[in-house]
Amino acid sequence: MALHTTHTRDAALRQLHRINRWLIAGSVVLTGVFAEAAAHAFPGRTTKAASLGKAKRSGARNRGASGTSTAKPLQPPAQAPQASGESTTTSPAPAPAQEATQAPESVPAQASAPAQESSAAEESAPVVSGGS
Amino acid sequence: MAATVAPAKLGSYAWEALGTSVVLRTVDPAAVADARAAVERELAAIDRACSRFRADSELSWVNARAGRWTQVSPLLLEALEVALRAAELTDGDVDPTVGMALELAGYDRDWRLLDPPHGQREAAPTITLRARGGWQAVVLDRPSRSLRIPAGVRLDLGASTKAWAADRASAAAYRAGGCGTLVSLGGDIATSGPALEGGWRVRVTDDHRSDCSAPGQTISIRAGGLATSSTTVRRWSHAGRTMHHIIDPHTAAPVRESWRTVSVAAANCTDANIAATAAIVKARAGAAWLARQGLPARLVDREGNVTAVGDWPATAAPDAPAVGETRAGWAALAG
Repeated sequence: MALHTTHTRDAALRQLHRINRWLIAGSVVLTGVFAEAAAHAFPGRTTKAASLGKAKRSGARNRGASGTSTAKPLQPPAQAPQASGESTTTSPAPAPAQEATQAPESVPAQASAPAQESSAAEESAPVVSGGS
Repeated sequence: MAATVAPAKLGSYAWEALGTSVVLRTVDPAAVADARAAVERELAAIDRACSRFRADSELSWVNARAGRWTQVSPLLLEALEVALRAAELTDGDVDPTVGMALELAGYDRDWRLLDPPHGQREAAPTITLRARGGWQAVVLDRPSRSLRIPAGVRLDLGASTKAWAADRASAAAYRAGGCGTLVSLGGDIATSGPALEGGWRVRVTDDHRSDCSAPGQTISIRAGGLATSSTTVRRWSHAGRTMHHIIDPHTAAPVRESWRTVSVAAANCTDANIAATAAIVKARAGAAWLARQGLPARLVDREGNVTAVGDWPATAAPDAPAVGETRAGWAALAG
């Protein structure tokens, strides 16, 4: 009878030990899952506190726009543009066509066409700055 | 001030890259081949790092890993810093986190492959997406060259990268050619080295693909950069609406057009482009904002009326503005 009781007790203790291990493992997994969910629920924060702290120390650009800006301000030109001698179209400029002209062919997105040397007339012509 | 030289003949090349046109000019024609090779190398590297349309680009990898830390190359890190600086200086009007908004507007490939506009109404400023956190939620760790963007956010560096690429390409061309250079990427112009005598002549107009007879103004610049942003060119049809590529980060939709074209001169092309794009997003307040930055600029509204800001040269006689031209005084606008 005593032996039976001992065996029963040992078996129960082993089972309790297994249950405890599962509970610990489950807690670790759930902690990770909740941490990841929290990280996604609050974008802009990170679970890597050390990395974020390092990023802030190194000047990471997550400051408020109206806060203390350390970004180098926009720099005006050393010399303002000058009017060219060429005659210009008087204002107001006519409104552009509402439909933008498409390139005649579907050009592969990043393909570079062969370079072409310009003629002398093109060299002397102004470079055009416009929307693209 | 940079020295000027008067060459008998310029070196010149034109080709396509980064989905747009490239124009290279060198003061010394003998240097143009080396300069072109340098420009091509620079643009190819930038394309691999920063393209939103290449599945194998670094930027695509970063976007695919949104929500996690990602290590990036020094080149992409610099592009990201340029984009975040643009956002900071413009109070978020030029925001690199509008990538998803652009995709929702149908701009998910090279724009020349998109459906052309069919005369529909312009896109209403309906909210299609509000990028959570915007640019302020992007965290850069410079020492480890690591980046983390919030989950669900996609970066688009197009607003500033083209001009930054022009600056880098121009500098590379100068180093390779050893003479004054001008590089235009889709109308965003950067210069390096000794200036051409009389300056580099530039025609500012709505569309960089235009010829020099297009309505606009011809000016000359001796150094720095010049950029033009416009809502009139990169347009397409999507969901029964006409879209364009300048997104208002506050609505996540194409910006309502107050200015159709804005040209700005600055110490470099990057700063000029940031200012030009921001002015379009800021709408009517854009002219005063440009004046406060001390940047010479030319703004054209939907009807074609021109407003000059700062030291921008007058379209006609300097003291007698032409009909339709407004001379926006610095002091008046700055107030």
